[in-house]
Amino acid sequence: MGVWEAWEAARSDPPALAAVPAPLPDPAGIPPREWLYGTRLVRRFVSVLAAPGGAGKSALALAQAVALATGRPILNERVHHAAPAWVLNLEDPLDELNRRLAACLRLHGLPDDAVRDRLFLHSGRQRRVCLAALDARGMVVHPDRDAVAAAARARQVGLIVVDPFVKSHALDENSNPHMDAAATAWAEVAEAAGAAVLLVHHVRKLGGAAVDVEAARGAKALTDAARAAAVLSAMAPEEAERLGVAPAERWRHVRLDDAKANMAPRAEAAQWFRLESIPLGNATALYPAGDTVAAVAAWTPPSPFADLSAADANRALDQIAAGPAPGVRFAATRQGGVAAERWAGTVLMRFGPTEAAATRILGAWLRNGLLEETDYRDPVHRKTRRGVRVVDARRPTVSAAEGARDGAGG
Amino acid sequence: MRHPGDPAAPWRAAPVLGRLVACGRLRMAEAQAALAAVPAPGADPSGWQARSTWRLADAVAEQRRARAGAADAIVRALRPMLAARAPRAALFRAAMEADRRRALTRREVARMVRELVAAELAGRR
Repeated sequence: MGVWEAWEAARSDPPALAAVPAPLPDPAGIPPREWLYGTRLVRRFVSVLAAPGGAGKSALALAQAVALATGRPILNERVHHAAPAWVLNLEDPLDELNRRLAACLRLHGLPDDAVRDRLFLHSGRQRRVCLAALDARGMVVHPDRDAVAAAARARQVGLIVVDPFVKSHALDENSNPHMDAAATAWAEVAEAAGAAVLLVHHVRKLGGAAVDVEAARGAKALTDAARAAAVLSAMAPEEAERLGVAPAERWRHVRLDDAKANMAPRAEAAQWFRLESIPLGNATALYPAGDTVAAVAAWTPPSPFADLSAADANRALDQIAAGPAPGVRFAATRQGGVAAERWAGTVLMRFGPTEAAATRILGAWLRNGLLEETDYRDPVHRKTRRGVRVVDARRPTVSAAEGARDGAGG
Repeated sequence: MRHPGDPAAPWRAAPVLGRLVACGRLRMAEAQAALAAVPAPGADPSGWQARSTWRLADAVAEQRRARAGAADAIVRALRPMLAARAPRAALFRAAMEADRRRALTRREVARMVRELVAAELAGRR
C-alpha cells in the first residue's frame, strides 16, 4: 500500500485527539487573508448577505459576482484581484438569470466578453443542489458537497454565490445543529475549492422593524458560522426625507450595512445602492414592450452642502453668530420647544438648503467643531439656555473664483 | 570597474546559479565555471572574477538559509494538519503557502509532504 493510500485509510479512521502545541510561526511568514472583494468576501470563508424579499439581494449578489469576474469595481467596492465567479441560483430559471446578467452588464457598460468564461450561472430548476440533508437514519449527509467543490476547483472559481441558502439544503431551518451542519458543509466547499462562499439569506417578517443580522430567518447558527455578514434593507421613509429622495423613488434605494465582521473593522457608514430598471430590448410581437429588469448600481447620497457655497455658508455663519436678537443665541435643534425663528437651520434655509439639508449641515458643523453648543444666560428671558456659537478658526475657505463670482453678483 | 548593480555585470547570474547549487541541480565547481565563462566586455578583469566568486558563495548561503527556513515553516504548518488527518490537497496547499518565498521547488515540497505523511503514519503504527 502506498503512502497516500495508507493516509486515506488512516483518515477514514476516527482520528486520535491530541493537544498539538501552537506552531508559533514567524508572523511575517503567515500568509495574509486572501481578500477578494472589499472586506466582504475572502477565499476559504463563508459570508452571509441577509435581506427581506424584494430588497434586491439577488441583483446585488450578481453584481458582486460580475465585479469579481471582471476585476472592475462597478459597485465602488475594491476588487483585490479578479477571479471567476459561480452563481448558483436555486430558485429561478436560467432565462431569468440571463436577463439579470444582461441588465447588469448593460447598466455598467460591460461587453459580454468581459465575463465570458469568467462567470458561471447555474439554475436550480435544471438541477437541484443539496449540500446537506437527512438520510433514512436521521443522520446528516452531504450529497452534493464534493461535486460542488470539484466543479468549482475545475474552473478555478474564486466566488460561489448561493442564492438562496435555504434551497441548498433539506434540513430544519430552525434547528441550530442542522443550520450549523449546512453552513459547515459550505465552509468545507470553500476550503476545498479555495473560494469565497456568499450565502444569500432571507430575513424573517419584521413588521416594519429595522433589519439587522439577528433578523436572519431561522436558527442563528448560520450567521454565527459566517465570518462576515451584511444586511441589505430598503430606504426608510425618514431616510428618504433626510436624503432628499422622492417618496416614489424610495423603493429603488437600498442600504448595505456590515452586520458582522470577524476579520475586519465594521464600516461605520452604510453603503447605498440604487436599483435601476434596465430595458433589455427583447420585444416580440406578443410582448411589444419587452422586459425591464432590475440591476444594481452604487449610489451616493446627495451632499447637503450642494446648495450652499462657501461664501453663503460664511454669511449664514455671520448671522448665526449674531443671534436672533442681541445677546440671544440660535439653538442647534428644534427639540425642547424651541421656536422656529430661534433654530439655526432657519438661517441656513435663507441661503437655499431645504429643511432636511439644513438639519444635516448643522449636524456636520457640530461634529467638526465649526459650531459649539454651550449654555448661556438669555438676557431677554433671564434664564440659562443652550445655544450655538461659531468657532471662527474652523470657518470654510472661500476660493478666489467663488469670491470674485459672489462679488460680481452682488 | 562595473557598478555592483549593473544588470550587464557577469556576477548578476550568481543568484540563479546559487539557487541551482543550493537545490543540488549544479555542483559548485560547475557554477563557478559557468560564471567565469560569462562574457564581460568592459569589465575590469582584475576584480570581476573575485566579485563573481563571492557573489556566488553568498547566493548559495542565502538560498540554503531560505530552504532551511522554508522546510521549517512547512513542518510547523503541517504538524497540526497531520494530527487532524487533513486531506492530501489541503496538505499540499498549506505546504506551498508556508514556503512563501518559493525557496523550494514544487517537486521538493511534494516530496517533503509525502515524507511527513509517511513519518506521521509510522509514528501511529
